[in-house]
Amino acid sequence: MKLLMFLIATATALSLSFGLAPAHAGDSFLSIEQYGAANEFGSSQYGRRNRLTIYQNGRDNSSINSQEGEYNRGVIGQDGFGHFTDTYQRGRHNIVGIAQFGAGHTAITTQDGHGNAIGVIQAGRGNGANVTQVGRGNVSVIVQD
Amino acid sequence: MKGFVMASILTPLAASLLPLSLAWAALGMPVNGNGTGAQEEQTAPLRPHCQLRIDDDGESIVLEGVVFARRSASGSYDLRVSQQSAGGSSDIVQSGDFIVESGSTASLGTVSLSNGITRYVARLTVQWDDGAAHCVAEAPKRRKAKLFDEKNTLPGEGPVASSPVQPHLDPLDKPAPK
Repeated sequence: MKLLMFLIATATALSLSFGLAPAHAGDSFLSIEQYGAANEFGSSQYGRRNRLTIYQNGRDNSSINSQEGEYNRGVIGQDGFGHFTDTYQRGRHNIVGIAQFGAGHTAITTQDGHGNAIGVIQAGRGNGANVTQVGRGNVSVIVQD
Repeated sequence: MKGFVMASILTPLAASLLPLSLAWAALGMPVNGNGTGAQEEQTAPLRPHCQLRIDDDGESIVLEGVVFARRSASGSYDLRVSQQSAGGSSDIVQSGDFIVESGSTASLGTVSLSNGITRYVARLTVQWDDGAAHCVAEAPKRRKAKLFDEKNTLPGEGPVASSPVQPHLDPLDKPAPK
């Protein structure tokens, strides 16, 4: 009887531990702010449910970032002149959002997978966006105003 | 100060991602669930054909590439959209594989553009084992657009009123036997 109770308790604890702490890489959060000119930033995240937030203010700043996995999110904000950002996401159900305010910005973003989404907002003059999505069921939204 | 600046960046971004996520969610739904009528089934081409659906609500222009086939088919697609506006220019490329069930429509990808653009051109190519179909949509129109007639309209749909869509069907397509 004690052995049976022990087994039941062990199985219950094991089930709960699986539910509460699934074994997977990811869930990392990265947030960066840079001010001034000619700053450069690069990052890579692997796994699922990673978060990336970048804000650059000034001129001629750049960021190059990649996320490989699923359910990743990337948000890049750039304010000023002549900024550059290049993002790459590989996997499914990834989302990247890029907002650039000012003039002469360039945004390049690539997604490889299915069910991905890209949003690019560029407010100002002389901005350029290059969006590539490989897979099915992808959505891209471009706002240039 | 930093918080204010971040908020000024993230607020419009969040506002834009809301319709983005809605459109994304909508992709999971069948594009055309109306089935096929007998007459439409007879007039639809045997081979797959493509269409660029355009929804202009005055604030944004949404282009959706779709493929229709009377028989189940699979292949690849390539959707390219180029647009120019006072604010700049952008090039969007969506590509990949598709599978479409017999007599149904499959959504390939969706692109949303702001309505402030001065010009856009969208080209969709759908390829399968022994053929290909091409669709082009552009605004403003360079030449008189060929509007959809019944033969080129997808089952369950009426003519696309505002459509600058010009489907280029494969000349090898034969009318269905009655």
